[in-house]
Amino acid sequence: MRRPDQLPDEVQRDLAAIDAALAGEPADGELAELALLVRDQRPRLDPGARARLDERADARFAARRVRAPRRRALLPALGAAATILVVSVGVYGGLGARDAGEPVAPGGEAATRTAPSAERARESADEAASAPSSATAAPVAPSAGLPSRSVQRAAELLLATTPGRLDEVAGAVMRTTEALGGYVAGSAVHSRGGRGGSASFQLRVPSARLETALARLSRLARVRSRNTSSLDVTGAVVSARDRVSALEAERRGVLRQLAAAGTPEETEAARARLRAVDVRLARAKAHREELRRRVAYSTIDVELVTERRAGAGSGTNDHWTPGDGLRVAVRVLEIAAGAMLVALALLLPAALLAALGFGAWRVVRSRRREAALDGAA
Amino acid sequence: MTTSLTVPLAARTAPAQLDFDALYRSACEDVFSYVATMLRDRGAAEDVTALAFERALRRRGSYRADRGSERAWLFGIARNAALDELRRRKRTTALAGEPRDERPAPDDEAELALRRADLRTALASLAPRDRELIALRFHAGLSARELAAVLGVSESHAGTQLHRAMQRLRKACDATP
Repeated sequence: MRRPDQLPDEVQRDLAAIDAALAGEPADGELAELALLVRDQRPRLDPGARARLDERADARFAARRVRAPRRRALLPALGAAATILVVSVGVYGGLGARDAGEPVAPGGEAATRTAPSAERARESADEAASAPSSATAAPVAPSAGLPSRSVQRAAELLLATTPGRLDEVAGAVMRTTEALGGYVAGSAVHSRGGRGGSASFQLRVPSARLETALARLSRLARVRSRNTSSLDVTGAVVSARDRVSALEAERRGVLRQLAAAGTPEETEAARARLRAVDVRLARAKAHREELRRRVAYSTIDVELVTERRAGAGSGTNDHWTPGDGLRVAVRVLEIAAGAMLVALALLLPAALLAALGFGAWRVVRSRRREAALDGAA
Repeated sequence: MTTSLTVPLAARTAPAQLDFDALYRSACEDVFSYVATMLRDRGAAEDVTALAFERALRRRGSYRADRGSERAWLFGIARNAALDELRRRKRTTALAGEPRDERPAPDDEAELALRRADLRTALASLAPRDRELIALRFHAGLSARELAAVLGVSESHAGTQLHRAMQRLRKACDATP
């Protein structure tokens, strides 16, 4: 950069003379004299214009004076913070939805994904569970004026445990079922001697104790998913019952015909008819009993898998420990860090683009302003 | 041997407070003179002066004492406001607010009045950039340093440009019949 003392001597001399003349000091030179003339030519504010300006200044400045001058500087920071917060919540929410099957705490209740209809049925089932249990059926407590409902209920449970505890948990599943008055309808255990494996069980437990059974089974290992469903079979039960009653009435009629038979042909015909009715009656009763069993006993399909991750298979002896708290805290920090990273990945390019755009806009604006000077007459 | 170093921390950390009322009172007339010379329209100059102070008040948080004087900062804003007005109008009008002094002058003042009229004509004939330099230096009363700060150039460059503008003004005066 050229300094003032690097100006040509003539220019320096003229500028010094101008400065001296403006300062009221004696100065020689045509430019100094011209400078004084130019200064005297300056447009001046007349009193009216000055008063108008003062008035406008008072009116326009008054409102702005009360504002904090730094407030605008905080806006970008507040905007960035709000954006990060929104992105964090969104990302955390997304991860939370993906991990819906994760336990809130080791051994605790897992988030349950239940279809709306199944959820409604589960509420009905809860009401049924509070009613006195029946050995043969588990009808929902009847409402006034309505017949009692027969509901067939089922559940699916996916449990995860460590490879070394597969056999232990499998045994506990069966013991728990029997302790609740249920039975194991089917099972398959594939164990690789402490190196993993899997097991599956088809359990039948009294419907009145379904919730208890699910709670106890859930404590045996880490719950990865739990689904419940229900089906109202009241119509089928009533229909089966009515059919049995009708067939019994028909059988009584046939017996009366048999008693009244006077000839061997009539007797044989009545007996043949009685056999046919007995067959149909036996089928109807079997169907009715099958329905009663379905209602009285709920099905639980248990899938048991092994995994090596922390928290799996903690089982019945699990308690909320400082280690668990630490793991949850680390997980939360991981999610928060991930959210911040995503937010940065989104914001950084946007901020760069905005900065580039702002810079370009300022350059263009500055050039246009300068061009206004060139274009002015 | 122990040496001590005194660092004016307060001056570095605490930005100088801008006394806006005092700045308005001291610079209002100068801003108007500069803008009026640029626009050659007293009414528009009044509006632009008010706008410049309003912008300055709005941006008073951006003032940094280490970047220049308050006046240089204010005239930077006023210059932008004047150039925006020039762009908006796309045309210039004659300076209406500086009527010639029609009073009969004594003989010794007649010569001076004539020279002033010639100067006014010469000034109007200058290129806008030259007129701006002269307006900032002689009508607004900026120092050479402030002039350089407003134009965003070095002090020597500003001095050179001003010297050239004055030379051209002198020639224009000489050329005026």
